[in-house]
Amino acid sequence: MKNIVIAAKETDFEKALAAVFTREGYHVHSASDLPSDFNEPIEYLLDTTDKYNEEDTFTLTGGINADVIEQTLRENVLVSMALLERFLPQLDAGQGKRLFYISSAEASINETHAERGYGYRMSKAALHQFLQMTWNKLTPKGYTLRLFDPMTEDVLPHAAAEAAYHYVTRRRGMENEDGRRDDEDRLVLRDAFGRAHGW
Amino acid sequence: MPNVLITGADRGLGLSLCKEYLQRGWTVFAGKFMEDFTLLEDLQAQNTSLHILWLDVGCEDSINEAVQAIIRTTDHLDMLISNAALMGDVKCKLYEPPMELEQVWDSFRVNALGPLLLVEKFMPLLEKSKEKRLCFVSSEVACITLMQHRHDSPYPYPMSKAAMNMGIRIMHNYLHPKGYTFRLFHPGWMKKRAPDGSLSETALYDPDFIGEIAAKYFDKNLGDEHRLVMVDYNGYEWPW
Ligand SMILES: NC(=O)c1ccc[n+]([C@@H]2O[C@H](COP(=O)([O-])OP(=O)(O)OC[C@H]3O[C@@H](n4cnc5c(N)ncnc54)[C@H](OP(=O)(O)O)[C@@H]3O)[C@@H](O)[C@H]2O)c1
Repeated sequence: MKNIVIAAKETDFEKALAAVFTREGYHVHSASDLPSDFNEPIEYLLDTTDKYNEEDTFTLTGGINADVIEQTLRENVLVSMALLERFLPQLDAGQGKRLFYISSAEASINETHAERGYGYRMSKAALHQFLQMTWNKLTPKGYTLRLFDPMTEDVLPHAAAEAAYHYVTRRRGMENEDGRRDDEDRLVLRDAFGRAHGW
Repeated sequence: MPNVLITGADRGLGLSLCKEYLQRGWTVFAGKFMEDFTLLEDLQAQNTSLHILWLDVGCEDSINEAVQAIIRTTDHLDMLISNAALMGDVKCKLYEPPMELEQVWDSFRVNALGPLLLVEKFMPLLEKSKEKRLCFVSSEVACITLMQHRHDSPYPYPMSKAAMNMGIRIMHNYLHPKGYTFRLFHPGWMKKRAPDGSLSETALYDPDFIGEIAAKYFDKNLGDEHRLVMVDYNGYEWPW
């Protein structure tokens, strides 16, 4: 059975995502429950880390809360970086070599109309750059990346999980084995409706 | 004449921008951060319109103190140039464990959170100006699109500059309708200045050369002030 690691099985989306992969025959381990001596190869890392702080609502005139911004950066970015570093040797040993992360179209510098939500959006912009740089480093080793917006406000967790499952497990398009026409040759943010969003 | 606050002004582009605006007859408030550099003091000896104040943009208290220092001289601020940045060589790459993740926070604190806090704290002074111009020195490494295929650099600095650009987008959404105008600038690969004023061999451009270009771009009124884009020293526009 193929091992995959999910960051946690806490939110409804995480539970639904773990259930879909289990249904499809994968052995889904939660990173927090894995013993430190677990050293089997891992196919996919499903990093579902995605924290939003209820107090992250201030505008520039409403009093910037630096503590909220710091906490959000730590929870959304530093945790993900540590998770990848921890499982990289086992991912290297696996066949799948696919990494999955959560973001939001609301964290697109191109698209957002927001006047607040600095902590979440800035942390995700940092994550996007982390993933772009990780893409540079890992694609020569055969890795592929998936960045997904589960559209938590609009899409039910089980439907978002089905969308994520297919997005993770399908290869992205390539015509006639032509590397110049290979959609895996770039990092993309796609939402649960299949729409791509700019950085 | 107008006035301007420039952060990270001890050397490099910040110092060059101080010289540019002094030549134009502006009053310049220069943020000092490096104790071992005295190039600002040398400049002040020739020009009384230069005011030096201690400013660590990674520290909220320091920003508050800088606001108080400026209030002793003026009741308004026309232009703010956020130039300071933490760039040092850090140990934070995959396959070189352990990554020093605190460096990610440190870069973010200075390069992304710093500009945000600066604007927040100086808003009462900016509000009293007709100009209300906010200028941010960013970088090509902030650009996620063109980071693809770029060679193996440590994570913290590019991540912090991308986060900074997002912070500026949110600020722009909120402040542009209130009469603020924005400049976001990539200065190119600049030489480093040593304490004696000499320039490093590596890199392409003298910061004085870039400073002249940047000062003109920051100062000039544009026809498309409603648009937020990153522009480089050639006048080229960058994607996000
Ligand atoms: N040089 C380049 O090739 C290049 C390329 C693209 C973008 N940029 C951007 O251009 C701007 C100016 O760069 P530069 O080359 O002129 O750099 P620089 O000569 O190193 O000047 C930046 C200054 O900011 C200071 N600084 C660091 N942390 C600070 C803090 N917490 N508070 C206040 N000041 C702080 C630095 O001090 P320490 O040296 O002690 O840290 C330094 O004096 C930066 O925003 C940089 O990101 C530079």
